[in-house]
Amino acid sequence: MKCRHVQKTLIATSGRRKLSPEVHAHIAECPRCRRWQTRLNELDYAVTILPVPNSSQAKAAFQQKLLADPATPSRRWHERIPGKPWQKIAVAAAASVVIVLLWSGVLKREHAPERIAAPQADPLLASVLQRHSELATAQTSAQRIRTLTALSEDLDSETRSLARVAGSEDLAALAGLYEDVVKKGIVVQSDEIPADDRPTLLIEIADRLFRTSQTAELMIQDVPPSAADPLRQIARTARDANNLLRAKARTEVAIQDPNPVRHLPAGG
Amino acid sequence: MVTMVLGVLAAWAGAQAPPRRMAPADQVKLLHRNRTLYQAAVKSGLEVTSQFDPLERAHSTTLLARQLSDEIKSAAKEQDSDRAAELCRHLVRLVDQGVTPNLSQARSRIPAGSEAERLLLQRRDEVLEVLKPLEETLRNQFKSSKEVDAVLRELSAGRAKVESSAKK
Repeated sequence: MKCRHVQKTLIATSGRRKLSPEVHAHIAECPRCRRWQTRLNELDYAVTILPVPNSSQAKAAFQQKLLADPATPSRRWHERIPGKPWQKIAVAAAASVVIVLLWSGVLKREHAPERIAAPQADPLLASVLQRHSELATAQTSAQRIRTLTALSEDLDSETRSLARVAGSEDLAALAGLYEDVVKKGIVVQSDEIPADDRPTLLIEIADRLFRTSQTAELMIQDVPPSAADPLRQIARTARDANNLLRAKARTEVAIQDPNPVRHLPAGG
Repeated sequence: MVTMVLGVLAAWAGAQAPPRRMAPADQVKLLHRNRTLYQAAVKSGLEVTSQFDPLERAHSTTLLARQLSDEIKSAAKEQDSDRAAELCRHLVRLVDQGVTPNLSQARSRIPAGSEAERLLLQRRDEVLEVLKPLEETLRNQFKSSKEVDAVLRELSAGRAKVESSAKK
């Protein structure tokens, strides 16, 4: 599957909707598409918190105008089309043909191959179970750590998206799961990565954790006090893991090359 | 004619528009309702990351499938066909993508008649013991639900895959 196709799919399914296993597999392996997905997630979130201007006055004025306007009888649709009756029928028939053609095109495009229909009711449950299947069949530590990172991002994203509406107990449970995935999953798996891949992969994961910590920190000031603690927990967990993975990456570089010419980025 | 054109247009527009985002209140309800399932899935997911034997991974995934199955049975008892169908689809996918590949992988390495084969068959039976009673429960509880009928077909196909995955 090509990056272009995956990115188009991500745009088309922006939001908390199900992606096909092929797209998930590609994203797990492709840092570029993963960054693309992260940016889209941030955009999705930003849309939900855009301030909406108060429209009650404008609405009231519109309703008043509507009620004040005298009702004028309107002509029927075919009387409004210029031309003779046979010309009107021809226009209507042509429009129907175009619509039917468009419709059949849509039907063909929507027939994406998928073995089993993806359930849509609870996207987080679908995602958590999908990650479980990926972990149960992952053959390398790199696949495992990337899937765990994606799982942690799902949990973080859900916590942030519901921070203003969910109960503190539910949010605390999500933050607790986030911490488990990071500490018992990502950090533990980071020791299993082959030495050659370790610096690059650890920095890639640390970058993602750094972004999570920054986003959660920013949001803390903007949520009710009951949601602040779970977000603080996520930010702290992500920040600590980011620092730890960067330290491990630096140690690995020092072991492999006692006089490194290039330096690892200091992000976070 | 107008009705037909408008109908086609509305259907076309519906097909073009992205699926609606769930209302926050509904998301909160789901979060509360499915919290224990998230916890079970994460716990089991962390467990399988430390397992390198496909039969161990199949076993851990089957334990999670059993928890899902219990939840489906509760939904069936309450005649909640939507929830039963949704969870059942999750269960089928979990078995199809998490258990069956591990059983197949183990099968390819295990010689017929060996002690390891006995364990393989035991792992296969464990998951069948989750799927078969569930099919019965759903059949008995929902006698005229098209959605549940469709899910039952998926469940039955998933069970057939599990059965064949352990065959030499």
